[in-house]
Amino acid sequence: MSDVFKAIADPTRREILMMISESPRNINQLSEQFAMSRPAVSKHIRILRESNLVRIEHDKVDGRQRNCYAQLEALAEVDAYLKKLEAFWEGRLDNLAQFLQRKPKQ
Amino acid sequence: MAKSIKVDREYDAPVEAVWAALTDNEDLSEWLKPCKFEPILGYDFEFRTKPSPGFDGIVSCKVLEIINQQFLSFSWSGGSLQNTVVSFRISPLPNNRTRLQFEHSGFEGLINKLIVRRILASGWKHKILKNYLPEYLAK
Repeated sequence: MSDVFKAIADPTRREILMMISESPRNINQLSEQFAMSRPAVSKHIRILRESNLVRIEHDKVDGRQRNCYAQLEALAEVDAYLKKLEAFWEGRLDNLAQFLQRKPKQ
Repeated sequence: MAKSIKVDREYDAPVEAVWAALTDNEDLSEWLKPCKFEPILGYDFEFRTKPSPGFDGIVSCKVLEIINQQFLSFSWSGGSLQNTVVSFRISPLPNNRTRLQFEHSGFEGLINKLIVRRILASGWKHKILKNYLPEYLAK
């Protein structure tokens, strides 16, 4: 989960994600598009993949090519995380009410 | 997706008591999480929370703003959250009651760009037409 935030904090990775969410692309195509070395793109893809934002499949026609697909469902995890965080604060602020009740009035 | 977490509460206690609960180390440790807080601008402190996979349970904070009996904010960094901001604004209500406006923000920079741009997928097509295609044609 922590990786999703890290993964999308980088502008290049956001660009990559946007691009492949339009249509899947392979690493060569992405390297060309970003004027970036193949290893550099691969590294970004790896980070996106580790956070479940990208899925890689071998091309059905050319098995050497690996296509990158966006999986933006992972962002639902971000949403779920924030909901949990909200519940945490709700609980703590309830605690505060109880604490204030308990505490002798000055 | 929410830009920030906001909670609005009313407490049956005067502003002074709520302020003490927000800024007294022992009080804060009791109702929020154990910490060594000092109400000093720029003060660094930590909260100890429950560790979970990928999170050691330590939240690092720094006091960012403090206005006596009105406003307190500190940074909140731990686990997936880095440099987010927590703030408490309190104001007196009739009958010795207090309103608290709580906010936890700082997620938008990371998330919104992605979401907004995803929604505006046409924006991406636009960018291709506006930037990449002309560049390509100019070659």
